[in-house]
Amino acid sequence: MHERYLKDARVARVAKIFCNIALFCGILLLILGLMPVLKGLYYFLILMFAAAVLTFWLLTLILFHPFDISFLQPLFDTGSEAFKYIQIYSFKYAPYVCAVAVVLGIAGLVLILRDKSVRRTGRIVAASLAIAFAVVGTVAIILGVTL
Amino acid sequence: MNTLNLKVGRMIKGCRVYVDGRQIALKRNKDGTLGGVYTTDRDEAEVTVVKLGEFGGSLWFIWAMLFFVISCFGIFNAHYDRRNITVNYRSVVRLSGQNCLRLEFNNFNEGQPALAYQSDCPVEIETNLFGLDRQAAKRRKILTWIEVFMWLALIVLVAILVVKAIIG
Repeated sequence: MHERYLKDARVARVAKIFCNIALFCGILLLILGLMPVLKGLYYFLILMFAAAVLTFWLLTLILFHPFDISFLQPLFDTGSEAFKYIQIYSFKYAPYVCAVAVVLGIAGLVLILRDKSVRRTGRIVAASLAIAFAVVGTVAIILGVTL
Repeated sequence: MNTLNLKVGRMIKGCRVYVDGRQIALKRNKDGTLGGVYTTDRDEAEVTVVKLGEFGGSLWFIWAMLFFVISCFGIFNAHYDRRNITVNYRSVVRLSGQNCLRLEFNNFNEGQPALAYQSDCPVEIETNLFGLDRQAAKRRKILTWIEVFMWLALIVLVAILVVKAIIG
């Protein structure tokens, strides 16, 4: 019974990991897809990304030595060029990220449905939302570039 | 055909219920308990409620590392249970027609019975114990240190690559 329990617990953990990754990809695609509509969110994202880059730069500065960061300048510029840049890259990679989200979401969903433990409703909802977000986000990204 | 209506009260996270070696689906009832139905031709059923540490088995480290890697360095991993409580309950229920077994978890007390039961049929308790997996706590600590070390190694590696790319 112990081996059986461990096997079931490991399958449940794999399902949770798949769902989490799928949900992350789905939300990312949704945010990128809705960026043209919610321009304020775009500024927020740029700001967050800039903060992350700045932290990383400071870390490397402490660890190694100062270097030129002029290449990071466009990231701090909230002009339309950077926006187009992100849009083009989103358009380029969205189908792949969407495929990852959908495949992992479906795999997670299958594993969750096979696992009969309690408290699985939340995970079923998460996996379903991940798939929906990924598809809607990808469609929104494609429409945002093509239209 | 005999039927066992199983009801479980407040469930400890991570517990799994098996009847005759098969995990049964428990659904939440209106009264807050979890309920499941098991039907069998036999006149007895073995009910098992188990909770163990996930760091069990000889390959625990390989599994833990595998989960760590596929969850992108633990970012997407689910939390491991910190309490390290183990539950080991096994009983044989004598069935005749429609039977009901209600299980209720006791408060945790190491070495004491994990579940209290109420039933309208004879129940033979084989094992009923709460335990504390001290080995899992040790293994978890080892794993945490390894994870921290791997994160540091990753950060240093990325930083070196970035610096090299910029200088190059």
